Amino acid sequence: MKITFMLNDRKVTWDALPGESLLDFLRRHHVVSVKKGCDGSTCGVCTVLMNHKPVLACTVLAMRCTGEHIHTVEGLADEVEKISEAFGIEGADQCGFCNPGIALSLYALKRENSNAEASEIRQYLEGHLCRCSGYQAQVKAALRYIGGGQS
Amino acid sequence: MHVEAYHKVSTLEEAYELLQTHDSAVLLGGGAWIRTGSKPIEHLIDLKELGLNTITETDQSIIIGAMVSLRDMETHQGIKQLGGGFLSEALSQILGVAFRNTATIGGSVMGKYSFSDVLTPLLVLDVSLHFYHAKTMSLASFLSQRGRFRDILTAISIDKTPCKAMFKKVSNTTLDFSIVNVAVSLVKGRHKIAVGARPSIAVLAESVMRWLDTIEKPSEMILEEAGERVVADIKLGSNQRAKEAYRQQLVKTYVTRGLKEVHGL
Ligand SMILES: Cc1cc2nc3c(=O)[nH]c(=O)nc-3n(C[C@H](O)[C@H](O)[C@H](O)COP(=O)(O)OP(=O)(O)OC[C@H]3O[C@@H](n4cnc5c(N)ncnc54)[C@H](O)[C@@H]3O)c2cc1C
Ligand code: FES
Ligand code: FES
Repeated sequence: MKITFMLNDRKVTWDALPGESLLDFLRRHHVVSVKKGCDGSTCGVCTVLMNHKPVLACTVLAMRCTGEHIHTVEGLADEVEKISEAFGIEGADQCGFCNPGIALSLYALKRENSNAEASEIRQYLEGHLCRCSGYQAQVKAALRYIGGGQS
Repeated sequence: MHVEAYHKVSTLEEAYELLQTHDSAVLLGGGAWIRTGSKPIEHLIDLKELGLNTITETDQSIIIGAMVSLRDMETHQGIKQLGGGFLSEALSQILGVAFRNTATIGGSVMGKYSFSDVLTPLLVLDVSLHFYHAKTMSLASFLSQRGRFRDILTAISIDKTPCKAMFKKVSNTTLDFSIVNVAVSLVKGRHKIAVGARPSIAVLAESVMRWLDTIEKPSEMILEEAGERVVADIKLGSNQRAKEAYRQQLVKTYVTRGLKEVHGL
């Protein structure tokens, strides 16, 4: 079945299977910045934005995207650049597997609450597991990004 | 997840008819729980386009469409006022924001999950369930019903009468299921006490509630006795998460603490 939706501000029409997750659907169509971790709603690496809100691509059905706006890191290059810079300065990433999902959540958080404090960042990032870091540097990087480059 | 036929319906009537026609048909809320199943689904009925995703407020109540996400509930200003924000707080403890943007209140109620952190706080409020076909019923009577219930939940409504309330989830890690959870409320001198993840589904401790209601100004000692009475009154059990004895200690402690909190002690 063909579905039409906006992917990173471009209209696309792709075939989707009735029970296919958005995660499998995007990866099958070569959008591979969206990672597959637990495939069971518990690690956050598959996070994408649906109408500017973070959702877990492994949990949402592809069919549900008809007519919706989906953003992945590929579509938010300028913001992702700023987030990467903050992560670099604070030493907040190691293998980087969790980064695309965290970057999208941080972008959404900044849109929702441009004054988010450390406790609010921690709460917003709950659900994003990182097997490398101890999360402290990520929170510092998030504060730097949300504060416009100042930590 | 293997789905044979995906039905995008545009009216409740259409959805209800499909549900009645196909014995194996499944209604799709957020789909988060449905996805965890391994059984192929013959007919999946998507409720997304039915306009069930709004929250409205009247003087007396807040009406929440069945397709409202847990995150939209949690961040709603009116819901944040209920019982000092205890319901928003309870919802915020379920996995992460991205998950709660997908899981719906409809799926969370109709799934009748024994581990639920949604049902326990709702039980200590005055909550009615509105269905497409069946008569409106209280959450407590819905939860006590057994057997299959082939109807569409369209909305839940919550009475806004000011109350004091508290919710406590006990889990091994923040993202884990509850080992046990407890909610307590005090509305116009009337108490409500609910315990969930016992490990079975959440229930009200009715006899203890009635006993407390007869005492004008319960002392700390009475509230401690209430904690003990709840343990004796409701059935707690063991599973891989915790033994019955551990749950008994937790319930006694948090019911007493909750009661003290709502009484300002
Ligand atoms: C990995 C994981 C961890 C979780 N952890 C927790 C936790 O810690 N605490 C907690 O409280 N919850 C937890 N949950 C449950 C979650 O919060 C939701 O309650 C659950 O996902 C159901 O919501 P949904 O919208 O996804 O429902 P769905 O998966 O869409 O549906 C669930 C059931 O309800 C039926 N249904 C849906 N909408 C309607 C309707 N309008 N009318 C009639 N029937 C309907 C469906 O047919 C299905 O049988 C967890 C879920 C997952 C997958
Ligand atoms: S892959 Fe989606 S949450 Fe882990
Ligand atoms: S940096 Fe490796 S998982 Fe987060």
